[in-house]
Amino acid sequence: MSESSSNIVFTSNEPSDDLSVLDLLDHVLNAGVVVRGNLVISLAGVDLIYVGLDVLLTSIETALRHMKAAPGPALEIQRKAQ
Amino acid sequence: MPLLAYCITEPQLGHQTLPAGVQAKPVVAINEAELCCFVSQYDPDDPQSKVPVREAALAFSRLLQSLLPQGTIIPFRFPTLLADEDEVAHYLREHASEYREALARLRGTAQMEITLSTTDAETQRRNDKPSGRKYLESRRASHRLLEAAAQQLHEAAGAAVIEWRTRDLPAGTRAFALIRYSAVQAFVRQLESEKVPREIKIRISGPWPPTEFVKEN
Repeated sequence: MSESSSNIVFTSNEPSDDLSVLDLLDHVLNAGVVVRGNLVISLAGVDLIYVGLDVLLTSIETALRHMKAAPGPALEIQRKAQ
Repeated sequence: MPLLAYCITEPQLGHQTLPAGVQAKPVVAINEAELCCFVSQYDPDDPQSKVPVREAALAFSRLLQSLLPQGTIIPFRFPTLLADEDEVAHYLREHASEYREALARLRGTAQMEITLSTTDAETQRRNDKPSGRKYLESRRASHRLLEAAAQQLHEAAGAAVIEWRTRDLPAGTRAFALIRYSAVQAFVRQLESEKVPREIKIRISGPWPPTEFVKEN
């Protein structure tokens, strides 16, 4: 089996190319502490996250899919209806 | 007004000069229970303050990356919002012992990630198998190849690795290496010089906050 070191690449976490940007978005959306709370985040009118759940209903794929479907959406926050 | 939470750190990081946060809002430190939490205000009713989610997430990431060289951080998942300062303080008090333990254990470390997958040609060769059985055999062989490569990189990194974890992905394997922040460059150089089978693509990224290691195995 032939071997090479040229198929090992390093991507720094500087947002200088598309791959790095995807990495950064992947990390902030999919890694980190999840807090129990009572707020709903809406993206382009679609409820994206209910922070009251321990598992967040988001991923880089879904976020990017929403972004493509609705260019320039805004993050909106609203109190969950009690 | 809701507060967007960025990360939890040890208290001494609360004296940093920081870049602006999401919506260009100033980021401030809330100190409680020997912990520090960085937050910025998030005004949902101000139409001028709405920003595209990608831009907001990148601003969030910039803030984390600016803190990472200064000390260990445990980030919140974006976007995490808490009602006000009292709620942040309450959260810190409630979880103080687990965060203090994790920050002490992870002090001075960073997480490097290594994504291993087969090359497009190798994947195509596997998908061209004439039967389901042959396909599964080929898939198992690829998995073994990736596992062996991950093991090779783990051994190559040697004593630099404090802890190593792997996770299977639909299209490959991801390895997480916990290392000293000061060893990042040496770690990358060491791994880049390794020779691995040509059928494998390997991408190293980092340094990242050590989120994969916050909970002990």
